[in-house]
Amino acid sequence: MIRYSQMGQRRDVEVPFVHAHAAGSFAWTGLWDFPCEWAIQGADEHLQHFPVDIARYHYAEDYSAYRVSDAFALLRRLEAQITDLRAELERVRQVLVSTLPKESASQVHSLSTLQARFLQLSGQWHEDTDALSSPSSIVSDDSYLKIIALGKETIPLILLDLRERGGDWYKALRILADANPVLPEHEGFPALMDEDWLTWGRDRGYM
Amino acid sequence: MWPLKAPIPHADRHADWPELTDHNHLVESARTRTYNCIAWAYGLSDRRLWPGNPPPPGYTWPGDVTGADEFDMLKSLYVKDGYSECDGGAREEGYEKVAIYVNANGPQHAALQLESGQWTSKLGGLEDIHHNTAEVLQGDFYGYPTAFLKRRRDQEEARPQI
Repeated sequence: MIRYSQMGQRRDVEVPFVHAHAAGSFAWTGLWDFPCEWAIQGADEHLQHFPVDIARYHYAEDYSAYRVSDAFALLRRLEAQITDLRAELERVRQVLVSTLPKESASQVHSLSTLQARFLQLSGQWHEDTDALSSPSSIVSDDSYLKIIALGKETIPLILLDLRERGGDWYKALRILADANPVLPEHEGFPALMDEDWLTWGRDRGYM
Repeated sequence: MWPLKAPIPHADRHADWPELTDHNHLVESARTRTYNCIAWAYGLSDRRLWPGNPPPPGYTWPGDVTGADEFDMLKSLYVKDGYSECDGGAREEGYEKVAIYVNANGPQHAALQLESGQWTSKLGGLEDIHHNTAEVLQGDFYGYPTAFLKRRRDQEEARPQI
């Protein structure tokens, strides 16, 4: 949360990937991996360097910043759009669930929980193992094993991740599907193996 | 995706690559899972190689390259290709070298020395990098360059088909 005043009006804005340093400067993290102290420190100096479109922000901590107004405005717009989209998705989901029998609605809720868990675990797995080469290290990762433990319901989610991000999902799929549709001559060639699994998934209605 | 001809962004540097700095490596390719480090150090960029009999799911391995364990099989792959074990990764005129990295869990990585004396590595499912020495990638993550093998550069054409 950043608290600032603009043209005398105090505002609060959620800016999750901007954080304050103790010295009173700011650095971008996340989407922008570069320091932007140029925009923050030395109010008068930067006023001279950027005489146009300067907006002055007074932070609650009494730090001053200049020329971050465009970035904040963009962030606020994006955040508003994301919030709107989330709300719209939730409305659509509720409408869909309301049309289902009670038992099915419960399954939809479970699937949503499963998806959230899968996204969390698969994200962690990619982060921890994407730079690894050793297959045994990749598939013995805790997150990978936890995904297998989620059961066969994760097959569509794994196939989707295989298509979108790739990765050593082959062992998990073999275990969960109790099948291996990869042609022997395709072993070791990821694009061909992926296509074999995706075709298998489409044929069985997983995708 | 990492920018080409630039160091790996700080945020993406694995904590277990303690030797990596802004000045000892550059990203040299786009991200791909088409090949892995073993294939890359062997001169192949269309498949993923990993030792095993049978190889692990998703990998291939020449059936006539055998050994007592993964490390042994990896060395055999390069020996069969004309390499012989040597003492270290220092550049030797007329020779190319391969380094095999091993940690407590076994072999983790292989890198190939370029004619300049620099090394080229495919980082798992990520990009290729050029790095100044084999030791740049050592640490808990990939382990340490435990075996070095070399062969004359003019032997390259004699590579057996796999």
